[in-house]
Amino acid sequence: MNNDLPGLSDLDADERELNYLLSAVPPQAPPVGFRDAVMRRVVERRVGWELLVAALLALPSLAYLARQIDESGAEFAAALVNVVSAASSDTANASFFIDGLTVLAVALVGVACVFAAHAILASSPGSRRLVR
Amino acid sequence: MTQRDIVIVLGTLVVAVGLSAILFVGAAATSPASGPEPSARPRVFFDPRNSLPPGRTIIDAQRRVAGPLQVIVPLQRGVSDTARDAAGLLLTLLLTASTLVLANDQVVAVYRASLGGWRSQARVFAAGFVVMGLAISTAALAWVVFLSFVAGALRDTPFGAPVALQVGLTAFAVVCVFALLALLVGFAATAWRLGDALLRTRALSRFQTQLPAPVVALAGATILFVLWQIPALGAVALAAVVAYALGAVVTARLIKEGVST
Repeated sequence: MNNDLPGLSDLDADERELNYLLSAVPPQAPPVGFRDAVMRRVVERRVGWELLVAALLALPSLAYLARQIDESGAEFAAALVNVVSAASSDTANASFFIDGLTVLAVALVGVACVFAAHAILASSPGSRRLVR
Repeated sequence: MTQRDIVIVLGTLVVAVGLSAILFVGAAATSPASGPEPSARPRVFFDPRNSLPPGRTIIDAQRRVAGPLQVIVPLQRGVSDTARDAAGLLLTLLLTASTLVLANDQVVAVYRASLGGWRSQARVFAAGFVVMGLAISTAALAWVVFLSFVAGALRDTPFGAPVALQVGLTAFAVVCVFALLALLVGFAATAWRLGDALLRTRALSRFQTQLPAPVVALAGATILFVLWQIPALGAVALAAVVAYALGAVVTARLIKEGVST
């Protein structure tokens, strides 16, 4: 095997010339803080879109829930009182109903919170990403 | 933002606009009646004595919203009924997603512990069933000992038995909460494993590298939830999932850690 330069046996013939050229460049120290800045750019995770998605999901749902509480707060309170009184009575039958949109709005607020929590955790230093 | 992020944000924007329209129509259609209109059905109703009053018809609701939005009223009714029925699924997905985010390291550890061939899977199942049996027998024996103590040592003491029973129930509830937290981590990892197993099939293998892990886990959780709804198979599937989840947690926390340390 033709090997005129020590330590370069793993290079192909057409790579040796380029390697020789690059190795002739004198080493130059990068400015102070350069490495940290590069690593920050590499490690940084853009989570702005997750916060945007969270806001888009949460705001209509929160507005709807706020209006529900404003308009029908007494109904929620009455249902809660009935639940407490039914728990201490010997009744066997009870009727339950809830507006489906309220369920959907509450669930969407929860989904938005999951997105926001993930964004906050992922953007904090030292966090690890869920990987496959 | 990458192109994928922009697509997600725009998609969410479209969903948010549509959802806002539905929520607006729902709020307008169910707002309190004024004058001779039929009254709206309560938003939340729980009553042990009275039954649910009838609500407004779609035609009544359409009269309360402006022209173009009247078309949405039937859709709003459908979405409302579906969301009410899907509350269990929404809860399952929300718990799985929040566990994946907030207990990421634990879920990944349990997921890794459950990897392997059929021998590993059988070991995880066996560990889960053993832990379930251990927990049930321990709880039953603890209650026997506790009730014997309450009935024997606290006899003829004023307020002794009721207070002791309340303390015992509270302590049992606290233990159940800790067990449920462990089960939640195990369930998220189990759903992830199930989603992974499905993606390894020939029909779905081309999506294997494209789908992110949380989507795979949520797909698995949805499949498990649908399985639980099947009348006869549901109970068996639930027991199997609980056993696998507990077994995976025990394998990750005790067996793997014990070997490595």
